[in-house]
Amino acid sequence: MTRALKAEFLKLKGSRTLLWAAIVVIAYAILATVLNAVLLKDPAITARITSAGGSFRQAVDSGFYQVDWPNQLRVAVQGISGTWGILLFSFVATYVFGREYKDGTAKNMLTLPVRREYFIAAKMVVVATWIFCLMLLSLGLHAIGLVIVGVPGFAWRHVWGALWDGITVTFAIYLTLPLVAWITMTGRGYLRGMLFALAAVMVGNGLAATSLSRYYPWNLPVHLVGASWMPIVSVHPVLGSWIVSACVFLAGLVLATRQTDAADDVS
Amino acid sequence: MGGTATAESVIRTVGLTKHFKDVRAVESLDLTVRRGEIYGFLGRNGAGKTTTIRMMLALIRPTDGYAEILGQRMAPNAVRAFERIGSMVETPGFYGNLTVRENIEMQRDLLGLRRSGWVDEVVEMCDLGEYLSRKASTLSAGNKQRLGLARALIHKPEILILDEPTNGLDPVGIVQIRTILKQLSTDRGITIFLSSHILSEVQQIATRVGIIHEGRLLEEIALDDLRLRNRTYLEFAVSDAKRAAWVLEDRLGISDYAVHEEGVVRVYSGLDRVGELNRALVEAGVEVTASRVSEDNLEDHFVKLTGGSDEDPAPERRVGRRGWRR
Repeated sequence: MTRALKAEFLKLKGSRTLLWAAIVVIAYAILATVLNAVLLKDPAITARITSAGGSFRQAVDSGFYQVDWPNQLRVAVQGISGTWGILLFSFVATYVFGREYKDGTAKNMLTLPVRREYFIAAKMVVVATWIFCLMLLSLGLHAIGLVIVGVPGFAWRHVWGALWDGITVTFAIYLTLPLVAWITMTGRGYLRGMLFALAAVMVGNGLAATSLSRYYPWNLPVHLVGASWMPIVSVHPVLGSWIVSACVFLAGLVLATRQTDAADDVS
Repeated sequence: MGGTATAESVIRTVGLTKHFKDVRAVESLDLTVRRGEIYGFLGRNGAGKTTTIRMMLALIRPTDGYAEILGQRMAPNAVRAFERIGSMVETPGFYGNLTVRENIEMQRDLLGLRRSGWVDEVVEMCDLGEYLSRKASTLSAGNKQRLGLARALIHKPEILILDEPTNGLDPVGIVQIRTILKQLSTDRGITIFLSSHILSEVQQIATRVGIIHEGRLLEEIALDDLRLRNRTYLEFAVSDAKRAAWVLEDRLGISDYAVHEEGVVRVYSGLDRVGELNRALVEAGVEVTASRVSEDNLEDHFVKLTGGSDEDPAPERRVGRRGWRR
């Protein structure tokens, strides 16, 4: 297992995908910083957001668009739960699993004297490390942006709270990734996995207003902290939400492992 | 063919079969490879060579039958067997963002080898020294093939399974790979199983060949036996093959010959009558542009068995008075 883990981390060395994933996070943080600067300069803008109605009005009424540390750190976490997080993290999973098929290295990997499930486990560790680093990068950059713009209301408890929310949301997304990995392996490349993630998010948007939504794993992050398109959390997750997500996680792991065992799809 | 495992058989397939829906890619394949052999697995494109190799390496699950390597039935996670097998299936894939050295080092790590000296050894053997710090993605097809071979050899396997190892190589590269394989067989006693459709290549290194056609193993034969079995013949390149046939049969009474469509006549008897044959043809108005004594090679044998090659479909032949045949 250690051998597989070491190899999986080495495979990322010098990979441009690491850079591109970081660029997405950096771009979002820069955008948020610029927005904060604008909002801080003209507080009347926040009032105009109420015209969007619905949960946006509620959000303004609750002080969500006040430029202060707790609100802006929440916006940062909501970026992960509902803006870029699910798709970017799914892309990370499709890359880690799909490149073996895209680059034709799967046939070498599967003929090594290493148990195939170790590779799946090692890849999932790499995915976890990668996405948690992206989450930390995002929160870190947002915090730096808030310092640069001079946003008032700093307190460490806000930072720890955002960090906890970030970890919870990233974990919730991580639970969906083995299934994305399996779909990627069946498609022998990146495309099928990404299309699946996109479809899963779209189905989630459709379900968002229903009572089923809290049990839908791709909506769990939104129900935890909200999202930029649904800033107020109106449906809260229950234990069953986590159980369903855990089942999806296990099912994904089993299917991905079986996919390497069958190996009929090795290109 | 196939049969029971003996102490010296290191690769064995028993009734190995693979169907992809309606396509019968491999059908009841029984083959045996003995320790120390260089076994050439020959077949036309699409004959089932790669599918067979994939089943041997547990990359594809057989529809029926099984493959056994070093006494272990091949299945996913046949870890013990994989420790003793080196393989290269079709065009080898690499991590293009890593250097050549990093790709080899990664293989060494995954194989659990501690001695870094083994890396230097395969690098030297495969002539990769000057490319070590280059990204694998920037290598030429030939060097990628060498890197694939280096990766397959790093753990000093007992068995080397190679699928079309000279694919994409220039003539010099082909000679280099051939030299390496011969050296591995002679110096280290490695058993080599290689598939190819380049028959002349296989003829130069293999000790035994198996010929697969449309998923079925047609024959396994030692090349020494093939040489003994093949016949010597006299070959004429003529301007009019039909008239040459008439001369041979009606004027000289020779019926043991074959006429090739492209104006080549092979005479299998009366090889001591070269002068007489030549004279008779010329006198009958048949221009003889070339003549030579030759013998059937692996290519001829392959063509006879499979009914032609990919590039050159089987020429129509007339043998004696028995008419035209494919």
